[in-house]
This record gives sequence, C-alpha cells and structure tokens, in this order.
Amino acid sequence: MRAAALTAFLLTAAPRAPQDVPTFAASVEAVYVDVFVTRDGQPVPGLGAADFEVKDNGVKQNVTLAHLEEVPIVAVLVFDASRSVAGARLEDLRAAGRALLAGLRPQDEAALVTFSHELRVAAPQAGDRSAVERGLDDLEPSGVTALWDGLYAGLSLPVSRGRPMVVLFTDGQDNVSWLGADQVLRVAQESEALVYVVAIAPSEEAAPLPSILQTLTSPRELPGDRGETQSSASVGLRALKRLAEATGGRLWPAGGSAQLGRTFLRILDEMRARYLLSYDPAGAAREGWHRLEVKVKGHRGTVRSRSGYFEPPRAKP
Amino acid sequence: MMKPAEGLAAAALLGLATAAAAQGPSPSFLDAVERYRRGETVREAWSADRLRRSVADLKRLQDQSFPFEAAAMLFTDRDVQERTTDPGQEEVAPQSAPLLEAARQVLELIPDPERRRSFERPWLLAVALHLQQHGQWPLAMHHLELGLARYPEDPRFLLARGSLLEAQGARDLQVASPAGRDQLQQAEGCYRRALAADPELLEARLRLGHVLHRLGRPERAVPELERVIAAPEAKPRIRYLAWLFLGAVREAEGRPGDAVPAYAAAIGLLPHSQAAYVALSHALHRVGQRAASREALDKATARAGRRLDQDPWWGYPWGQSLEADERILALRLVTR
Repeated sequence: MRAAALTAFLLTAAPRAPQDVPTFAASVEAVYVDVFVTRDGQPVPGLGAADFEVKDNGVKQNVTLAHLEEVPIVAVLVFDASRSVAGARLEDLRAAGRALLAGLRPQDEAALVTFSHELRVAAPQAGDRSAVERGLDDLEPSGVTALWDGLYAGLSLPVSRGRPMVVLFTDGQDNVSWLGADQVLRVAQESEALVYVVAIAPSEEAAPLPSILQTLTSPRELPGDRGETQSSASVGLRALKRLAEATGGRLWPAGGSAQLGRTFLRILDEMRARYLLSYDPAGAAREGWHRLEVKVKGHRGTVRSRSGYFEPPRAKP
Repeated sequence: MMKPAEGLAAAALLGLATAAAAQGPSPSFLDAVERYRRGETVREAWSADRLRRSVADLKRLQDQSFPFEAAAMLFTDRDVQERTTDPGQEEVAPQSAPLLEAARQVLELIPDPERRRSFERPWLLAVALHLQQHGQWPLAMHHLELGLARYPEDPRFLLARGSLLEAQGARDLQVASPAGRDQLQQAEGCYRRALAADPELLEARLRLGHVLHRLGRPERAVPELERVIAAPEAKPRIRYLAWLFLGAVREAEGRPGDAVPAYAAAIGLLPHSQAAYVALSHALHRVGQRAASREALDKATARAGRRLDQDPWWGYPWGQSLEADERILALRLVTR
C-alpha cells in the first residue's frame, strides 16, 4: 500500500537534511515501513538507513530514512463506549485519553472514534485537540459492542498528513459487528496505520476471565494455545494481537483501568523511538500481498515492523 | 388466552384468606396475590422455603376459581425485578430461577387443561425469552424445550429455539468450537420445522437463509433470502436484513462487486440504519473504490444512534428475546 498520508506530508514538507540526519526522499510510489528496534527490551537509538536491510517479496530494496521529528503523528483514538466501560473505567479512560493528547507535540493531530453497537466519529482529525477532549467528556457508555466495525472505521478515516497511529481501547468482546476479524485484518494490511491495542479485562460482571491478562503478557502465548477453553473476549484479543503485529504495532495489556494513562504514554514513547523507512519498490509485482522482511545489519536487536502490505487491485474506471 | 374470572377470583381469595390457614395457602400469600391482581407492585422476598411452602399449600387447594395465573405472575414478576444482569446480554454465568420454577409449578395446578394451556403456552415462551435476554441461555433453552415438549410444532417456540441455537452457534464458531456448526445445523432444523408449520413466518425464512450462509451453503441460502425479499408482506426490517445477508453471501463467494447493490438496496429500505453503510463501505473498499468507500463510511457514522431498534442488525443476535418485555407485559395485564 502506498502511504498516501505520509506521502502527502513528506512531499510538502520543507527539505531538511543536516549532516548527521539521513536525507529522506519521498515519492508517490514509495512504500513506508515504520520500524521499532529493541535490544534487551530497550529501544535502540541512532540507527541510519544503511543499518537496515529491507526485502519486499524477497527482493532487497534501497531504503531511505525519515527524520521523525518532522513527521506529525496522527493519533486516531478508537475507544469502546459500550456499557462495559461504565463507571470508574470510564473516568480512567477519559484521563488516559487526555494524557495521550497532552503528550502529543504541537504538530501532531488527533481524532476520536467511539463504538458501542453504533459507530461515532466523536472528533474528526484536527490539530486542535479540544474537539477530542470534548468527545472524551461526552462519552456516555451504553449498549453492546461492535469492536471490529469500530476498528474498521478507525483504519478508514481519511488521514490527510502524517504517520497514522490507531490506538484501540477494548476488552476484546464483540457481539454485533457487521465485519469480522479477517475482513478488518485485511483492511489493516492495506492501511499505512500502526495499530496499538490497549486491552483490558472484561468487566467484573461478565464471565470471569482471570487468565487473559496474565497470559497476554507473554508475547507469544494467548488463551487457547494450550487447548484451554477460550472465551469470545480472549479470541477477540488474540485476533487483535495478530492484527496489531501485522501493522508493526502491538497489543498492550493494560492491567486495571488505572494503568491506562501510563500505557498510552508508553505507546507515544514507542512511536518516537521508531524509524520510518521508505523505498521505491523494485523487482516486485505491484498488486497483491507483499511480504516484508526488515533486518538490522551488524547490530544485535529485535525488529518489529509490519509483516507485509497488500497492494489492492486498481479500481476499474 | 383465558382471562381468569375476576369476580370469582376475588371471592375465592376473600374466602380462602381465613379458611385456608389450616390446609391452604397462607393469608400473607393470598394477600400478596390479591395485591398483585389489583396492580400493585409486590416486592416481598420469597425465600426458597417460603416458595416451597406456598406451592405445596396450593397443591392441597381444591379450588378451580383460584387465580393461579396471578400467583404464577407474582413470582414471575419478582424474578423480573430481581434478575441482576443487564438485559441484552450474551450468555453470562448461570443464575438459578427458583421463582420461575415455582411459577411453572403453580401453572401445573390449574385444573382445567384448556385454561392451563391458554396461559402456560405464552408464559413458557415469554419466560424463555426473558431468560435469554438476561444471558441465561441454558435456562432459556430449558423453557423452550418444555414448551416444545407440550406444543411440538408451535412455530413461535421453534423460531425462538432456532434463534437461541443460532446465537450459541455464532458465539461458538467465533471461538472455533466444533459445537458451533452443530448448533447452526440444529437451528436450521428448527427454522425448517417452523416454516413447515407456518410458511408465512418470514423471520424464520430470513434466519434460515442466514444460517445456511453461515454454514457455507450459499446455493441454498440465496433462494431463501430472495423469497423473503420478494414477499409482499415482508416488513422493511425483515427485507433490509435479507438484503444485508444476500450481500454477505456475495462477499463470501468472492464477489464484493455483486454485494454492493445488495447493500445499497438495504440502505434504500432503511436509510437511517448504520450497518448497511458499514457493509457498503467495506465492499467498496474491497473492489478498490476508496473514495466511495469513505463516503459510505461517512454516511455510516452520520447515522449513529443509541437505540438498538434503529438498525435491525443491532438486535438480530438477540433473536426473539427483544420481545420478552412486551410478552411479559401482556401476561401481566391478563391477570389483572
């Protein structure tokens, strides 16, 4: 997927190439790969374009690196507003949302989508975050949950410029979405957005799921891996984890709702410690699925980035 | 449904209040029934022991004029008041229902079979839907099976049982449980029997089409859905869902382009609904029409609404349970 929002920004941004910062050339055909590199659990700073090796469908690409300070983040908050959020959880969610807004830089933008059975764009993308703050204030939890439809809306919102980041807050329960996990996964693969899922245990009165959050802290294991009975929430979280990782993001178990603010700020920290690579694809077929492999050359570290991207067929005139 | 003879019932209660103390219902129970009949909200606590005694006392009573229906509804309404889970739940942890069991036993005591059937039949259905509404799926199924044991080809029981099985099947398929497919097949059987009993029951045909789609049998789903769409008597909400499901079948067949007109037809029927716009947006996305897809999504979000009945899809997973309150109210009124 060509990154329209990033391209829009990078083609119009003033050129800036100090000696110690890699230059970044954007073209309308460019593919963007948002990469997070860690060593012993800590972000690895100071890497340049030459430190990365990117293969698109097995073909090595010539990459450049963007200077992230110049690229605005577009934070699309997608929040569960069903009745399971009512009470103290709602106040914690509002506070966490405000903390995230406060952590954004002046050039960053934000939007708010809420979902119960209904989808609502509570605040469209804007640099002025007061609309999002009002949207948080106006949250009135009620009804049942269309989680996948909500995430679809968050992924499909028009993002005019910058690095889109979808922050989904959910307990993994879904009971009335029209769309299914596989359909939204594909949309995510076609999107340029990084998806971060902030997962919280289902509300106390729901079926008890004591193992979900502990298990989610293990990066590769979710309920069901050992054959235990799965709940719809745990299956939903498993699908969300897969989706988030496919975009290069991740699923964060928040523990209790009081930890939401800290979790949101950790996401922002991670966004700022990432690398944004770009290349004009060479030697790869245009349409269809593109498998991406990203490695760090000559350094020890773990790389997290989207596993690939889907180049959809061109619309017929 | 037979309405108990009011004069007889009142006289019976008055007479019994004194005479029955030794071998019939206690005065406090009779007083509660009478207050209930007068339309008061009776908020008394019914311990398991008190319930057992009240039913046992009624069993000793040989009086056809006693308002058994009101006594049953007194217990039923108490269950409605006490049920702690919110309505509109998926399955939640099981709770017991001693009040409903007592109510059912009271109805068994109605001596005249015709009078008993005329109240018990709608009561079993209403209570099953009430329990489903509160996430008590096994108890709801138990009451539906009781109903079907007595009224085997009642299309309303068959439709309700099919809907509950469909909900269970959808949930179990979501968690990749092998039981899900079996439940959907059982739901299919219920809908077919319901249609055999009442070929005009369009909701059963709609759900049959949906279940066949979920079972991966589009060639059998499509004719059912098309029959619903073509039925002149189909209400807009039924026809809307039929178009939505037809679109879903086309998408599942890998024909998102053919789903687009189906979703557009659904929108034409209920322009204020939201799910059809989401469906349309996604289908357009799949065929690469991104601008049109976003436009449809904009329209979807412009149609946000809190009321579950704004979009028939939002209530679909809950099946007939959305009728529970209305059905219980009808029973309540007939006893007063």
